[in-house]
Amino acid sequence: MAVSAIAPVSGLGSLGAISPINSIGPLSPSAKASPVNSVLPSSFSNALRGVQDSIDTASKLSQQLATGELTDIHEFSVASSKAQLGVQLTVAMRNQLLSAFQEVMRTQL
Amino acid sequence: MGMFSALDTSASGTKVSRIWLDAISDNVANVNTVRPFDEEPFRARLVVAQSYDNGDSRGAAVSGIVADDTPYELVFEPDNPLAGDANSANPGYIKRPVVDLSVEMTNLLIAQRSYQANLSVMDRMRDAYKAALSIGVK
Repeated sequence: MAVSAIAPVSGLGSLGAISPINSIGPLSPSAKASPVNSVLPSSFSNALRGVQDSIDTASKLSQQLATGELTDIHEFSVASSKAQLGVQLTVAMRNQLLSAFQEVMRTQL
Repeated sequence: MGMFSALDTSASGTKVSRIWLDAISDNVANVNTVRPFDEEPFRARLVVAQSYDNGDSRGAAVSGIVADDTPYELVFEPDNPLAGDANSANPGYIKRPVVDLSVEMTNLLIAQRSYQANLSVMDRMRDAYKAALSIGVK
């Protein structure tokens, strides 16, 4: 059966040229990303490094304890206590920082 | 002073007590160490403790181990194979070790309690630190 040819679509009127977006001007100096004071002070990262060091010490001493190299058993207890307290301190600070952040985010604008 | 310096201070005291316990165990182990009369007798080891303060940390340390200079005594034990023979200056005599077991047992009590006292301080400090961390926690 012969199919009739589809009639060509009548020419659409030429679309008005899309007006170009006004080019975004260069940022004014005031809007440039200035070195924002980080939320976390650099002392915080130093403290984190200290906690990591104490964890490393504790794990090293636990190995020495297991292999019998450690003469002073209490040194391991002290090191693991320090590491535990350091981690707990870190977690406590993280929780406080997070709750402060969330408090700010709840502010009604 | 570091953050948990009380732990280090207690640890130094614990170490002194541990060395003292080592010395006492050596003394008690040698309570029957007999020597021939012409040799130096075994002398009890006395641990000398000393405080230190290097600014960063404080505590106690062992400054040295000295020998008990109590005069020895010659004991007549002719059956002992170490006893001086008939031609020697002290025939039949041996040297008993210079160790007083009653003193050692008393020191053992003190050293043990000292070790435990330092551990108690450590425990309390840890509890205190933990309590400080729980401030404001709901």
